[in-house]
Amino acid sequence: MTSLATLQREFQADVMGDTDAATGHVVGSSDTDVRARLDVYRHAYGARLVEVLAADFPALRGSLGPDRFATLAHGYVRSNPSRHRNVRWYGADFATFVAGAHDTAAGDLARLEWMLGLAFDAADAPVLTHTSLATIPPEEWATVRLVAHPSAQRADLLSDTAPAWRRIQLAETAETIEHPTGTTPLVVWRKHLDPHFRSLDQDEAWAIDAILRGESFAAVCEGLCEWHDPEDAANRAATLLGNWIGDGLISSVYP
Amino acid sequence: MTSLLGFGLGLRPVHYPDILDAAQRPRIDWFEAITENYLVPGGRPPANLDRVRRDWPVVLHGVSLSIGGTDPLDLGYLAQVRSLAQRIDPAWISDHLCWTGVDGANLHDLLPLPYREDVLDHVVDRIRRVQDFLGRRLVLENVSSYAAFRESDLTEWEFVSLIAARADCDLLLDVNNVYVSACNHGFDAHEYIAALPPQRIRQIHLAGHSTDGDRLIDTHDAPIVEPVWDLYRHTIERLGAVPTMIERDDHIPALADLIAELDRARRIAARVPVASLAA
Repeated sequence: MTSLATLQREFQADVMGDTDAATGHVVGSSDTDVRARLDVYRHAYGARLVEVLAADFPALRGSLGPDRFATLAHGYVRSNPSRHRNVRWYGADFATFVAGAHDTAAGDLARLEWMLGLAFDAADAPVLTHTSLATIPPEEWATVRLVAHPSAQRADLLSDTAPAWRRIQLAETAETIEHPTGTTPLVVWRKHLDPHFRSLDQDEAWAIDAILRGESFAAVCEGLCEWHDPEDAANRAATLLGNWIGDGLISSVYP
Repeated sequence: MTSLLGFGLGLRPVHYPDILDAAQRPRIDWFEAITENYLVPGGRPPANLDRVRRDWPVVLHGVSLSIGGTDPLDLGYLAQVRSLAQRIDPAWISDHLCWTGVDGANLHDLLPLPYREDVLDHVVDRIRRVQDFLGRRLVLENVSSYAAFRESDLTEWEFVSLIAARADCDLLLDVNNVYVSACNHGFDAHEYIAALPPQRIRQIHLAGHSTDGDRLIDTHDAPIVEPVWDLYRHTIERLGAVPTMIERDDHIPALADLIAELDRARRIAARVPVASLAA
């Protein structure tokens, strides 16, 4: 008698399309019938995961069109068996795959969509308000550190990525991504339960990266001197902090 | 644990506005939430589930326990399920009598088991360990299937009944799955349902399916078909008032359409003679 583990390995290999290993285990009126029965599982496997990717990357699908998207997605499914119990995480490596299998522009669009998804269901955390910020004694500002909201993520993406994403949302039709040479820094986060993103100047991108690394606010001010003279850097830091509080990007401060 | 009666629907995000923001409370007695959809760190999914839970009883329905799998039980996953259950206090936790992958892979499908004694022992042992971990009885659902194994010594209904008895777990009877599998494998759906232990059946699923050549596929993408309604009527006549819900996962219609379908289940149950209801 075939052990259950062996039977499951052979059935799984068959479902993944690697072999016909399960045909000997299955009851059917003919070889064709057995294969047809197993094909229900094989076809469902690919179709289900492609459908998951289409739901997680709708803008990329809109950009490439359903056929080219399906080809890419089936390629990903073939080379990336799911190791996730929750199918929510299956697309984690899709942006990297798309960048390699198609091009960087499509890869960056996929990356933006995945980041928006991560922001959507990132951990909950309080949002720091201007009022609570005002309670921090002046002498503590030398050492205070800002804690970004758990949904906050930073990336430098090709400059047309965010505009292309917006064009696709508005038009809901296939949209070609332009291929400019430069990149634009972006921050992605969740505000009032909805994912948001916006483009950043280089100094703000650096400052958010520094906060995500856990650097102190004083170090952020100092670092901004690379773009501004010292007095302007402090003012710039204060302006950025005000914007971040307004955006809900900061969860808390600690000394 | 909360008690639960009546007629429910599968909780689907597309219906949140009609459920949470409606001027009038929709005519739904309870909701079944897909466990995995809420095993995320935070944001809108858990916030919406908490809002639903404030006004309705909820049951949790998992799709990735892989109770029939041969990989070790995933204690990290079970800890997440236990934590979610502590937060929302579901009437019960269900999953499927199946396996979903082996060697760390997950096919994200509900795959059939061979029905034989050594598999019974294996699955019963795992159910007991999961029940001990969760501190409650599991409710396990019969899956629809397209392939049956040569090395099966038992019928599916014998296997399901023995699992429930030996593991001391409860059953979620998916009437559509019985119908789909009966058509695909050529057994009698009524014989299947007659063989199940009535006292173990905590919940009933109804759903639509699709046809692919000679086979029926459990796609949950269409209204419930007449033969499944007939089988439901037969089931309720035998079991009495078991909490019943409708699953819809694709081509999801307006909430009002699903409530109308649910009302048909209410009418069928209401017409069942009281004398025939199980004690």
